Amino acid sequence: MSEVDMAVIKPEMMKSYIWLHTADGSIQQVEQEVAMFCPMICHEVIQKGMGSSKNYAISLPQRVNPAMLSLILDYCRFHQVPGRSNKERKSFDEKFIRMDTKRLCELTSAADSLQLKPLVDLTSRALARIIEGKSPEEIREIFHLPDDLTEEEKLEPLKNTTDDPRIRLLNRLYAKKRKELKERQKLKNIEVEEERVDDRSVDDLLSFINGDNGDSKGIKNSKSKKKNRRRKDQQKNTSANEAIKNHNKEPNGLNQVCCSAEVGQTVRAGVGATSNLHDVEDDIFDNKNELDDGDIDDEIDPALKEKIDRYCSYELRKSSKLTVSNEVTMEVEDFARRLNSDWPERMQEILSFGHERKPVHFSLNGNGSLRRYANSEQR
Amino acid sequence: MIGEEKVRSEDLNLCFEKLMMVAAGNSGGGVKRKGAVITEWKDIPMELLLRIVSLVDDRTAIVASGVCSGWRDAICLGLTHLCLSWCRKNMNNLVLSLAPKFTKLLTLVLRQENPQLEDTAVETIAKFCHDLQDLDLSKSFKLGDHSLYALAHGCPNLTKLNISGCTSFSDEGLGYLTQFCRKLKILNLCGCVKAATDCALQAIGQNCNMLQSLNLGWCDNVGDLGVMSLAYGCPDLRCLDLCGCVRITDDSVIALANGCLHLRSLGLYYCRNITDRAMYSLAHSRVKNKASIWQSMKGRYDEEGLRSLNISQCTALTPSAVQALCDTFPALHTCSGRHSLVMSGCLNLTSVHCACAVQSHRTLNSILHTAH
Repeated sequence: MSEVDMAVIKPEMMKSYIWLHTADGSIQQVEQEVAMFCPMICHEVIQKGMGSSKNYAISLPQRVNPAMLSLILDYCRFHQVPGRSNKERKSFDEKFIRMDTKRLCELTSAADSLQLKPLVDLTSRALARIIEGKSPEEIREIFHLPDDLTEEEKLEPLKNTTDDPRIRLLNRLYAKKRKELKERQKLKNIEVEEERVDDRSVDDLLSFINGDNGDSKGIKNSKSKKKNRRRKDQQKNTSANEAIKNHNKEPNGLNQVCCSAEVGQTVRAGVGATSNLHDVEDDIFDNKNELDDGDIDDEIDPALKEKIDRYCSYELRKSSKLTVSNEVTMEVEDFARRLNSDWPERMQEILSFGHERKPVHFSLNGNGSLRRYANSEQR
Repeated sequence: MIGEEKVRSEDLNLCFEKLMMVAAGNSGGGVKRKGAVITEWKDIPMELLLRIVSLVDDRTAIVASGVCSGWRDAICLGLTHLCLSWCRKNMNNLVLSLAPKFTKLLTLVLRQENPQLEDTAVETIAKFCHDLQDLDLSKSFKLGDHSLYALAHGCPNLTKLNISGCTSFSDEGLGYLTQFCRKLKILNLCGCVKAATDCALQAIGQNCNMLQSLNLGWCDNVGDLGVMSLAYGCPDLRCLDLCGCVRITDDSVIALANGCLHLRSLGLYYCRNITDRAMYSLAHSRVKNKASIWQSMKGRYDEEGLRSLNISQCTALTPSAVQALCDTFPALHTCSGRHSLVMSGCLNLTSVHCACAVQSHRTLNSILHTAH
C-alpha cells in the first residue's frame, strides 16, 4: 500500500503507519500503535520525526532481521491492546516463547536492540531455563559456541546434587554418542584436530573409569545406583579386556590420546599445573558433572595412581605438544588392564587403527576400517 | 566379543534415540540439526548475557563461565554476586579455582553447613577480589587468624562481614582487620568468643567509626570497657546485640544511651546485671537529645528512636522503669501485631504495655460500660 492509496481510504479506516526498514534493505509499514510499543521506534518517531514515509523509514538496528521483526511486531500487536487481562498476556507469552533455541537467541538479540524490555525479560528467562543445569559441553552444543578455552581455564567440576543418576547415565551416553558422531565427521579433516577430538573421547572414558577420586578436588558424594553401574561395567569389562589384549602394540595415535588423557587428569589434580592441551579438561568436566554420584569404581589402586601421576608430570615437564614414548605405551596398557576399564565401541575403533601402524593415524584406509567397525557396532 | 558389544551398543542406541526425542521436545530441537552454525550468538552483547546469567542459579552461572572464552570474559567481568553455600564437600577447592576468575565480586556468601573452608581459600579471595564489600564466612570453624590478616590487606572495601561461628579467630586478628577495613558497617561476631574481647572492641571503636550494626551474641568475654569504647567510637551505631554477654552492667547501656543517638535495636537478653538505671538512662537521653536528633535527621523516618528492645531474663528490672521507657519510645510495642519489646522471662513486667495496647484496652472497657 503506497501513500497515495492511503489518501483515498475512507476516514473510518484511516490508520497511521510507520515505515521501518531492516538492515537487509527490505522496507515495510506497520500500524503506528503497534510500532510505538517499541521504545526505540517511539524515540525515533518523536525525537527525530522519522518513519512517516517510505523515504524516511526508520532504520532498525542490524540485529533485527525481517523474520525477527515480524515476531516482535506480533508481540507488540498483542500487548499494546490495553484491554487484555494478565492471564491472557501470560498465556500468550508462554505460547510465544515456544520456538527453537536459535530463533530464541535471535529474538532476544533483536528485542534488546529495540529496547523492548518486556520481551527481553521474557526471552532471557526462557534462555535461562535452557541453560540451567546443563554442562558446558551441552551449552556449547545448544548455542553453537566455539570450544576455545584452554585446559587450565576450564573449571573444576562441580557437584551435581539433585539429578537422577539414571538420567545422568543417559546424558553421558548421549554425550559420548554425540562425540562419536562429531569425530567421524572430523576424521576427514586435519590430523591435529583429530588428535584433540580423540583425546576427548578417550579422556571421557578414562575419567569415567577413574572416578577421579584422588585426583580431582571437586567431586563425589553419595553412591546411589552404584550397583547398576558396576553391573554394567562388569558386563563390558570382559569384552573390553579381550579387545585390549588383542592389540599388544598401541599405535601412535593411541599413545598420544591416552597420554593426553592422563595428563588431563593430572592437570586437574595439580593446581597451577599448566599445559597447552586443548579441550581435554572439557570432557573431564562434562563427565564429572554427570558422574558425580560416585557410582563409578572408586577402588583405584593407589600405587597405580601414583604411577600415572608420575608419568603425567613427566609428560607435562616436556614440551607442550605431546610426545610419544614407549614406556608410556606400556603404562597405558597396564593401566587399562589393571583398572578393568570400560572401553566402549570407540576404543575399539581407535585400537583398530593400531593395525595400520602409521604416523598418520587416520588415512583413507583408516577411514575404511573405521566405517567397517562403525557399521558393525551399530548393528 | 563383538556379539556382546553389539548388544551393548544396541542399548546405547535405544537410549540415544529416546534421548534425542526427549531433547527435541524440551529444548525445541536446538540440538537436533548440526546444520549451519550461526555466528550471531557468539557476539551476544555482554549485558544481555549477564542478564541471562543473573536469572540462573549460582552453580549454572559458574558452569556458564566455562563454556567459551566470550562467555568467560563477560561473566568474569560482570559477575558481582556469588553464593557457594550449596556446596557440601568441595567449597574450599571451588573457591580456590573461582576466586582468581571472578575478580569483580562484590558479594560473596560462603556460609557452610559443614566446615569446609580453609585459610588458603580466604587468602586467595583476598588476593584477587579487592572490590569485595560483603563477605559471609559464617560457620567456618577451620579458619584461623591468617584469614583475617589476608582480608585486612586484600579487601579494604569491606562494609559487611559475617564471621559468626568462626571460633578460631582471636582478638588480635580481629583488631588487625579493623585497622585496615575501616569502612565496616555491619559486623557479625555472634559466637566468636575468642575474638570478641574488650581489646577487640576497643580496636573497633577506634577504627570502624562508620559501624552501624554489631552482633556480639554469646560473646561472654565482652565487658563494660569494650562496650563503652564502642559507644564512644561508633556514634552511628543503630543495632547492637549483646545477647548472652553476661558481664555487661548498666554502665554499658548508659554509655550507649549517651553515645549512640541513632540506636534502633538493642538486645540485652540474659544480661542479668541490668537494672532500672539503664532503662532510665535510655529514656532520659532520648528526651535530652530530642532537639538535636531532629536537627540531624530532618525528614527521616527513624526519629522514633528505639524500635526494638530485648530485655528477656533481665529479672532485676521493675515495671515503672520499663513503662517509662515504653512511653518515651513510641516505636516500642507490646501489642501482638508489632511486638518489639520482648520481656519473656520477666514475670514482674507483665503490666507494662505500649500505648496502642492501652488504647484498645480502654475502648473495650467503655463498650462494656455502655452495655450496662
